[in-house]
Amino acid sequence: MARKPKTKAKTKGSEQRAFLEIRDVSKMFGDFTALQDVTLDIYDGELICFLGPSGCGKTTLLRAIAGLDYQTTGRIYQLERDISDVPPANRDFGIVFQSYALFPNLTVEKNIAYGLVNRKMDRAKVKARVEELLELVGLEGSDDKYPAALSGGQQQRVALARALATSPGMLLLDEPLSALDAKVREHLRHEMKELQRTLGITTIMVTHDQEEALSMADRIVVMSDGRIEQVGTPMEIYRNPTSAYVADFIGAMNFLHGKVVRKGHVKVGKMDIAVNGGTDQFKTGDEVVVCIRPEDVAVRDLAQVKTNRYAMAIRDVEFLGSFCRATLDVGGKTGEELIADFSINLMRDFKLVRGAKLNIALPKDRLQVFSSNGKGTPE
Amino acid sequence: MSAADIPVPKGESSTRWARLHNGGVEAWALLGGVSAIIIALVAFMALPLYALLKKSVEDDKGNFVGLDNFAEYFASVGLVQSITNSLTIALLTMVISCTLAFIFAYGLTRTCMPFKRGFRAIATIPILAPSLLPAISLIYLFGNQGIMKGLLFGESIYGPIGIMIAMVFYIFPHVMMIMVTALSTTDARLYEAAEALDTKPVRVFFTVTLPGAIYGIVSAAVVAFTLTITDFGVPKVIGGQYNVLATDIYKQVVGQQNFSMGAVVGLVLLIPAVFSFTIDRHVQKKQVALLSARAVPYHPKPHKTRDTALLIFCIMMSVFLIGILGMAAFASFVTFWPYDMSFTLAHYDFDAVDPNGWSSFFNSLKMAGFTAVIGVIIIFLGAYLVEKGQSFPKLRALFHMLAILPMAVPGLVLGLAYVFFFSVPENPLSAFYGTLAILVVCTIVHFYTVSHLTMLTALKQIDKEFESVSASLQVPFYKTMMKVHVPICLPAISDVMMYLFVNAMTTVSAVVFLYSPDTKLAAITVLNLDDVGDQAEAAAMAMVIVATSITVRLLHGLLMRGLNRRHSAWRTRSG
Repeated sequence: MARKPKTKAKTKGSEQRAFLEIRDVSKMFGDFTALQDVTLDIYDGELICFLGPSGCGKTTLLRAIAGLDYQTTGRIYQLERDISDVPPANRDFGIVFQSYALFPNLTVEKNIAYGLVNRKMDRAKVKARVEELLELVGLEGSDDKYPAALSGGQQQRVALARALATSPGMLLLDEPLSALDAKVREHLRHEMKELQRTLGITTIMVTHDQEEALSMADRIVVMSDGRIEQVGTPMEIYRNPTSAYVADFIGAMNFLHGKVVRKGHVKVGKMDIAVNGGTDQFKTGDEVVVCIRPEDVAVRDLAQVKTNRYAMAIRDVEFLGSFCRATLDVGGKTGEELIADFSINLMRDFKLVRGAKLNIALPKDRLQVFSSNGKGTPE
Repeated sequence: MSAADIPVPKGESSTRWARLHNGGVEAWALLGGVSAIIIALVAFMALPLYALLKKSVEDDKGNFVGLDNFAEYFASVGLVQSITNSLTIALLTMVISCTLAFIFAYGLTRTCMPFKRGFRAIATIPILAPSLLPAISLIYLFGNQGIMKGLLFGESIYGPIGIMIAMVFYIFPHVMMIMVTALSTTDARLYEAAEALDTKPVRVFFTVTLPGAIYGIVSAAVVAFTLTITDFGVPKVIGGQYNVLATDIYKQVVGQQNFSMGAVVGLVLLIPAVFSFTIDRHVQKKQVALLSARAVPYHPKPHKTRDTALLIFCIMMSVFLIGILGMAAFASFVTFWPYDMSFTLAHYDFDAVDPNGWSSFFNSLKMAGFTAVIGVIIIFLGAYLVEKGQSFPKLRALFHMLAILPMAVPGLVLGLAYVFFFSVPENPLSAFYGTLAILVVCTIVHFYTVSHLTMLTALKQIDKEFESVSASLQVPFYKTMMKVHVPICLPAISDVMMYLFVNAMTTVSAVVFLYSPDTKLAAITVLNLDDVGDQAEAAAMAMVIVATSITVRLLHGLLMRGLNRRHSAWRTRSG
């Protein structure tokens, strides 16, 4: 089993095994395959995000790791111990759910102490630990309140404190921020990341929110249809998606449909686009898509640029606050368009308005080519 | 082919074993709990019903005779006549009670008439009484010495008319409550839209109100039909020479000791019950879908003519309900109806007319108490395992299916099945026969489904991740169940206990074959007293039952209020 420790996560030498090893895990619900041969290493102390649309299997994988729903086949090892058939109570993790699942009839203090009391810890110690945790999540003095008296964000912190109370080796977060308002969510995102870094606890977070994943994760696992599409740091995933699916799922992306006309060149409408080596796998005449992020469309300093320079008309401009999103006319019969994000500065400097013409360049190193019948290619 | 016949790949079964083994006490507790409850339902429902089925194809000596009993049954004109009679009564009662209940419920939900709460409380009175009570009251009112006999224009109350009036009284609360639910779940926006389009009220009624409530109405009709066709107390008391299926079973078994024929009639009675059960399950599913839509609640606006008309109707209905109850109460206190109207308590001296008089009441209290306490524990655990259990999905589904079935089995049929199953000396459980325990078990099974569904609804509202959280904190599920689920479910637990208690106090049909002299119940005493002509005493005993039920209900109300106050800090919704 080849491991690729090419990420920045702590690997502690190639001999040592990962904190959590997932090997060929599949999960069937009747005829439906929720997970298919998932193999993944999770390293000590990292925050890893399972990202994907609903139904992609990310929660199923989390529940298999927790032992809440056993995998159908495959093995899972935590610190070299085979936990594949071990019930959740004998694994070592804390978990926070989207609904928080706080016990409504117990006070904040009793909720947090729930796991401690069961361990026959003496009262004073429990009390001290609860205080410590409340301080950690910034909820000092809320001991005697019931969950119903707390705001969503506060409930989330209590749930986090409860999960951390027993000092588990691993923290599992199932869409922990999805039930919150946008403002609170952004704030908590930052706080949780801080907390995780301070405690150094290995954390797995499931989310469908790419922004959340990009901003919090050390590594992201992009999933679709029960399979892992790509694993990498947020930057890798964003900059170098390895499939059209990932390219489309993360961030905004232009998909220009065209044909390979010769090695290293794709014809899209009237444009002849020079691309880096990526076309080796394609034959002349193959249908492909050329991808570029809207912010990578270049407008300034085009004088020295020789390749991939085109003149285009602005079909439409959408004002989005800190920047504008322009729709450019690629030309040709297909009516293909190119989305480009321009700063307000640039809009002013180049006097860009609807109907105006301008020169743009598609930097060769920012282009990616995928087969056009590939999975996840947009319509 | 059962699950055991399917070859299991070796790896898979060993994995399953490893998981069960690793699960320790918790996994075994779950498996044990589900298995125990399945075995109990099989032993106390499925096997007795099988014994009934077997009996129907045997002669008196236990020889297999195929369908001879059925041939004999259908050859008998008198017995077949009962089928027609039963269906006629059930269908007519269904139409009458549904119409009355719909109008009543309409008044409660769609008008601005006053005293809604009062009307609602009055409408639930019949639940607290055994079905024998309205029949006895009607005899006082319209019988041979009845004060209002003239209103019948020469028709006799002993027969279909009496059965129907008494049945309408008895089933009214059940039908009315379903109608209220059906009419409460309408979306106000539909009415606003209709109003905006300037639609005539009559058209609104037929295009919006009725379609919205249709599932509820069908469900109410089915309930009315089943309750009527399976009830035994009413036709027994007031049926006279008019035979129906329910009284036939009793006559065949108790009167003629013809058990095989009793079994045949029981099976015949099972058919309409199962049929309406199937319709109801089907309709219920659709009703749920209708409910889940996010609707804006409807608030009626005052409308003088409509409000007055419905107020008058509800008053009349209340007079009818209170009148029936009041008649029985009155009759129990007068010396000799209608000749000597002086007040007396003599009729409450039950021991003077029946050696098991008062003792039967205490038997009933004991039986109802055990039924409520033991029943609620089993029902809660069962519902918890079905809803919150984390493994053994197939076993849990099987149990849920078994738990729904008792609703389809009429009490008389269940009681008779118990006789066939438990009275056989070879059955190791036959020691049970004739004890109070068998009455408790039979009553729990008889009323299992409604209680199970009530509990399930309460548990469904609890976050489904509590078990996962508690597992992650290494707290066993049963501890979390006691610390969290039980406190949250207290309102439902209290509801189910009251439901079981009141039904155990009033039921006749399931236990009429099962009591022994030592375990005679109050409702049975009512039946016996009426049988031998001690009508005033019968009315008095029925009133004792009503008084007990009312007391329990008041206690329940107080308890709920106390709970709500004590838990107001976290209980946002009141039970």
